[in-house]
Amino acid sequence: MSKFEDLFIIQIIGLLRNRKFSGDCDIRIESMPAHLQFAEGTLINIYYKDLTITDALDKILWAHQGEVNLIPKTYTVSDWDYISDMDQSIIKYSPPMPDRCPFMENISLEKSKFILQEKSIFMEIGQLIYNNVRSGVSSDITQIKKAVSHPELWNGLFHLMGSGEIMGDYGQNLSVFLLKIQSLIISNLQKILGKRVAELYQERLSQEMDEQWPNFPKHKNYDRVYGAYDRIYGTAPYRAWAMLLNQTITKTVSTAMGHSCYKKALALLKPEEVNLLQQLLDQKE
Amino acid sequence: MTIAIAIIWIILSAPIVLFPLLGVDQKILFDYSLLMQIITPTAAAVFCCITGLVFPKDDAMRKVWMLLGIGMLCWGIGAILFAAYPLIYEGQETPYPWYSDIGYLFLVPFVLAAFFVFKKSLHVEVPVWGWVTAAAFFLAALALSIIFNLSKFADSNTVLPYTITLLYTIGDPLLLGGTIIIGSILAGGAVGRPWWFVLIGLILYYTADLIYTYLVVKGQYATGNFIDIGWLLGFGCIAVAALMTRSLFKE
Repeated sequence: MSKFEDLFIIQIIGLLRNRKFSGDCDIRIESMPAHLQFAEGTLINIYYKDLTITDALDKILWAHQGEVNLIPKTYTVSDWDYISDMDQSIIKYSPPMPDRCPFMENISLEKSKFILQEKSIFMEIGQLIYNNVRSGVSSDITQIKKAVSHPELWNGLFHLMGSGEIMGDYGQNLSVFLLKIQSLIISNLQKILGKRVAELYQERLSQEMDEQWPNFPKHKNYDRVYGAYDRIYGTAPYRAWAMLLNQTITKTVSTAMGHSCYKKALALLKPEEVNLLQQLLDQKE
Repeated sequence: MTIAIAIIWIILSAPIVLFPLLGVDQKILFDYSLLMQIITPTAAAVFCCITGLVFPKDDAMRKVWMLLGIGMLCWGIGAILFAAYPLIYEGQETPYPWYSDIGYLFLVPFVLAAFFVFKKSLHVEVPVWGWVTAAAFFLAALALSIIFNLSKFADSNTVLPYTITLLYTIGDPLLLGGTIIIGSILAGGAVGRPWWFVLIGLILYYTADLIYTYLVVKGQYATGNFIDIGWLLGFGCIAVAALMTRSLFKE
């Protein structure tokens, strides 16, 4: 199982719908296992703590960290209208945002190929958000918040992401951001400690990253940005990456000289970028 | 500051070459050379140690520069003992071997230990060209050392002078080879540049040792000889290397 962070399970369901996933999605939330079954992207069943399917849905949708594992299998589509049940859960249990998951402010939104569902209770706000997400390019959530000033904005977003009509992706921002820091560190290492040390750092970093986060089968239209990881893991791979940027220096040059290169790289970042990195490095309980 | 120190160092070393040309009294030259042979390694030791202090307490680089500093200081102590002999024995030249040689020889293990700690802290493989160049320098320096020390070996009628000569013969080539290995790892980086100064310093030091041996064997050496400048400038280069490293990491 691999970790997922800063991503609600409702979003994972939407992402799996979008990629028409068939099989088991095993999730561990605070050491409790949840077993979700999908058929061609449609959620067909949930097993969680002996709860009924709708109660289980209500309970798991709002967890935003845990572990997840996908096992492809063939299942038959059921007639459960889980999207309506998710909408009900959004009304009753959606968490205060962005307080519950502040990192969500850094997610990018992207339209999927699905057509907006007209029967949803979030049709109005959904339409507003949908119209403000540009086709073919990703939009920052902050831009959407500015364009769509609506008290139901987050509920609308949850509906769109849960139904797979809009996809949330951290990779767009974070992989580019971390690649920038990585290249600054490498350039400093090369400048200060020479080419050989810089090359060894790069080699070790990708080796460590591959060990921690093997980039699982890349999904169609997903890996446009170099270094982007599967969206279902949220920020987890990027947090590991941010951590390894510093830790690998110690494994390459175990002296203060290495840390000096790291510090010099961070000094070149804008204050908001330093803040973002700090948020990534902050470990959650 | 580094450039200023380098200029001061050159100015202070220049009289070794200039005094004989200007016809300055041999006694003044003798005393000046002895004094400078004490001051320069001690100053280099101080610069190495203050560079070490730039790094955190348990950092490998602190150990590296401290070890280099101790090595320089050992040589300085050797020079003090060397200078003390003529003072005690009414201006006579210091014999070989003497207690001063212990100080001189102790430079080698400390500098080699510094190289070892440095290499260990960098988890980078030494490039092939680094090994080849280091081996070439080592073998060439060793061959020259053996040639220049042959008479000394022949004249050694007891184990002690033979061992001391043997240590001098092997020590300097080891220092040269070790510096090249470190320099090759850091090639192209700002930290690598000071190491080339260390190498230049050790080449000057080695050359001075070599010519010193030759002149001693020929019975032509007297303190204040122009070759003394090799040691003074050699330590100067190491001091400059220390200051360059310090300026890189001083925050």
